[in-house]
Amino acid sequence: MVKIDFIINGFSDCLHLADDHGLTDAEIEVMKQARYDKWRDYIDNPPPVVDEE
Amino acid sequence: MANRYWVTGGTGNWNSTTNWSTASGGASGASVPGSSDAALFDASSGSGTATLDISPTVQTLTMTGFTGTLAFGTNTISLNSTAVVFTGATTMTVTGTPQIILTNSSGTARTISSQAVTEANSISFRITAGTGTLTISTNSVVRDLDFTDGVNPTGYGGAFQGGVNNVYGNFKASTNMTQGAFNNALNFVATSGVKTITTAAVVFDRPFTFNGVGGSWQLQDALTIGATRTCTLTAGTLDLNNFTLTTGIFSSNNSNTRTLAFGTGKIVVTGNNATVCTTNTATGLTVTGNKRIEFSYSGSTGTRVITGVSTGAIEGTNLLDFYVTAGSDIINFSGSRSYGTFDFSNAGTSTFTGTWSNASGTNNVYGNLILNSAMVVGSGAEIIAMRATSGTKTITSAAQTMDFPLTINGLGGTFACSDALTLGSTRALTMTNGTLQLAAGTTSTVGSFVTTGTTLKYLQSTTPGTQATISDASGTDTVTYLSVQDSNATGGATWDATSTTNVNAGNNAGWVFRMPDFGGGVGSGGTCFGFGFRI
Repeated sequence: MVKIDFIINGFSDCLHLADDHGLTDAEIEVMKQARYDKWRDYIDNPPPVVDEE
Repeated sequence: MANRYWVTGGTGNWNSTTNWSTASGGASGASVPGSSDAALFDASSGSGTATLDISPTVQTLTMTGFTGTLAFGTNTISLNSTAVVFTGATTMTVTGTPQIILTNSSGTARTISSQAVTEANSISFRITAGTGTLTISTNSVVRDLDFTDGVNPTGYGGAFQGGVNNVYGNFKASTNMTQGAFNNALNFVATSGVKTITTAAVVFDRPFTFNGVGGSWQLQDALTIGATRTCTLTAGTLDLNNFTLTTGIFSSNNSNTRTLAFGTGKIVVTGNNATVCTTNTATGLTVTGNKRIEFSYSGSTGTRVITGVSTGAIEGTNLLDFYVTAGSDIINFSGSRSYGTFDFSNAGTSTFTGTWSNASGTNNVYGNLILNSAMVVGSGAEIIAMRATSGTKTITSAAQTMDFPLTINGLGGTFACSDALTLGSTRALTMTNGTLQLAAGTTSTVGSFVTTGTTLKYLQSTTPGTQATISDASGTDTVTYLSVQDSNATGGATWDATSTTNVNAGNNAGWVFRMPDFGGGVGSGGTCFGFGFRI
């Protein structure tokens, strides 16, 4: 596995990629941004509470 | 599917027909279970050791009632079926590096019922494929829990269910799985070694608890827990490893030995209308690194209660810094507690417009006190005491009136105001210990100015040589054991510094100091008054 640490707007995370991931730097940057966007959206718009048990 | 029962036979190796039967306790000689068979161990399997001399694939594995040992060595067992694929037993022993791999790639649900085994007898599970739900039965225990295929960050692609589950080893999510919403906690309970937690951006909408004396858990990426869920540190070390931990509520409230290691990471608390953070009893708690907790709820509902330390507070060791970054609700700091920093600005980025209130009792702040201009500062008689005993801490009023008593009481600490300090007209600014530096070139306003105690404290300006003005509208502000420098006292009150315990350190105005006794004139021992003289 390849680990790529990143920080976006104070959000600190890490991508774990296969050794032979074959991704370009641009694609990796998109993945970082997607991780941040997902987190930011969860912070700003937490889903309603629906317990399954 | 054929059943194959383990019976005591010859060598004890898995890959030997001398140990398998078609019936429980039956005659040996049946074929070794293969990928179309179920392997079963039970009370009739004896108490010997079954040794994995190969890494077999079977449909399911059942250990109910087995009192012997399953010796994995470095081999693994793959289970390729669905429904309940593994049933463990608290009566059995495992040795080696026990790992079971779930390989079914269908969308059919699977269940692991590993039972409440001990840490030593726990088994690791890897789920490499499948999109059906995966349930780990309530109170079942696992060692490592890995949802990847071992090569890529992907693997299991379904929804992880579960009751109260204890994990003794590492935890690794896949990027294509999800976690359903559950009230039951995922408990990390290792008692030795460093265990890793990789969440692959999966939001875990269930509580997380870290509770293992001697255990340590290190994040491998950001961890996000649901906005109504609690992350609890009960015992052991939780190492954020510089990453962001997001949770609805954070709690570490007990007397166990435990460490919360931030590194450069932080905790983001998203919950609201509840006690969203508590370290009420911090005995045994050590906090290292950033010590930063942000409160990000952006709505207006309810009160977010933040409970600092009432028992076991140690400056520099177990006090957290609190940053309110959003919301228009109420932030209430529980009273009679100790805290690190109160920061409502977050370096100017906070959008908090709600109300800050304090519950009854003096709150000790060992860090900075930073307000923002858009918030509402509640009023009350509860004291905020600045208590740092080293370094320089910042007080930023942001043009807010602090309509509560403010006490400077940190022997060895310096408290620098970054702007004019304004207290309510009935509120006292009290100096007991430490150095208060009012902002140079500004006018700070107090209801009264009081000193207590018999150690020398210091009233200064943030810029040596430039006065800072302090204003009180009426009455007499009598001080003792106070060194005054670069201070312009004004507003209408009498600023009585005539006690011989005071020091006129220069560049003052408006203060009444005792003149030196020159042995004549007014008379030996008499009192003269002067303005700005140094004795």
